[in-house]
Amino acid sequence: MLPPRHETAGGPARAFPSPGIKLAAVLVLVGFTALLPRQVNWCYLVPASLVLGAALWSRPSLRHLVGRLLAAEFFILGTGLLALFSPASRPLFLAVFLKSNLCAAAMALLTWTTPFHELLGVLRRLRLPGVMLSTLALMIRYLPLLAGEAHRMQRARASRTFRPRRRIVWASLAEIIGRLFLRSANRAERIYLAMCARGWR
Amino acid sequence: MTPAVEVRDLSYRYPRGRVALEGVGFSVARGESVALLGPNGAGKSTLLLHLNGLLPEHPPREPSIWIDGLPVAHGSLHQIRQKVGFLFQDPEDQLISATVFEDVAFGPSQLGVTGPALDALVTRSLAAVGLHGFASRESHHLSQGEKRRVCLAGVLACEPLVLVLDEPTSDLDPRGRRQLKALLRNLPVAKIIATHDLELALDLCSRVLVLDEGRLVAEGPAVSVLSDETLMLAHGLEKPHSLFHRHPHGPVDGPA
Repeated sequence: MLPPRHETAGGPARAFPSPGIKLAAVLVLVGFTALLPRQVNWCYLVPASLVLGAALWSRPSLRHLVGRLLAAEFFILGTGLLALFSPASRPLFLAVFLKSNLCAAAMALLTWTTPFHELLGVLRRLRLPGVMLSTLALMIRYLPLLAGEAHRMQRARASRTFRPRRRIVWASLAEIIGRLFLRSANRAERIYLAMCARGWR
Repeated sequence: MTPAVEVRDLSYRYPRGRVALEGVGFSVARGESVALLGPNGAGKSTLLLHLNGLLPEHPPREPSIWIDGLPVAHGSLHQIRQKVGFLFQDPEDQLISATVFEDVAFGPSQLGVTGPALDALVTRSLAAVGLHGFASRESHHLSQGEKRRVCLAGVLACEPLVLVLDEPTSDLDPRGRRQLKALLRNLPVAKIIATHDLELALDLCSRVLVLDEGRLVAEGPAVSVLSDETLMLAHGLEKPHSLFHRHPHGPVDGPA
């Protein structure tokens, strides 16, 4: 999953000058949404209309928006499992479902309109811990590379007449994940050396 | 005059016991370009890592390497890494930041350069590798050749005395190769280039070192070493084509 190409993405919102203001606005929206009452009522229309307005303004690609919402959906629906055991918490589940999706959509719009390195710059100015920021920066830099590596391994497997059968698929998936882990560990070592070579301490 | 690099009786054994380097010694003058040749597993990359103090993990009490007269020892690693710029084989390992600007600025900022001086240094380094205007570009959207040149800009931004390059042309198309070669030719610093690209060695380097099984087996002027077909074949190499057939219109590589 590649980060969006920010050179072209973001519509008019891309031209919005300050990533700090965008981040602050999203955090306020998330805070406001989280503090909404447990019972779903008209108050929910406020963040919903703001998210909708921002979406119409920034014109995100459907793939970007749906992709990010789906990634969050597993965690959101996980809370629904609780509702199966406790009927009293069903309205609560609906509230959690709406709140989480609104917050996830707001974050997805933020990442659509703001390059990640600009967000990192804001977090750096806010003096968040350096180790956390370096980890985030390296993660965003190397995730596409890791995804590419996994894709190449799958293609190599397919080229050797691999036929997906249930048991073999799981075994081979486990093998790919294991190899990816090893390759990532090796790459991490090389990255560390390259950083040291440029004076990193 | 103090040589840019001096290596005396350097030996190294990997933690699992395999001997990687044995009694290696040579020196490189300021501004000189030297090619480091040898088959796979000869110890070329291991030797290069030693020049930057990246190997061994704990430098020995008695140094075997001097950069500009400064011994590669535990207390001098920071200065050594400023003097020796290292271009790694895979640009993806070296390109660690999200944008070109941040990546080129990484080295100088570790050396304490900040503010307008850092901006000027980054701009100058990018211009030196022909990537003027690339500062705000995102690293993962660059072509392989551009990635390689950004890495070189990041190394040049530290203003090194010696440039150490590990297989600099290994994954470049002919145009990228030609551009990189032209760039390297015009850099006034000493260069040690580990490569399998024998034409590159012939074009850029006045002197050649041949390493095999961790030992320095030959050393001399590039043309005479590379013309020795028996020596080349004995160490997993071959005589470059351009030494068999001279191009009728002179050197093949024109300007980038």
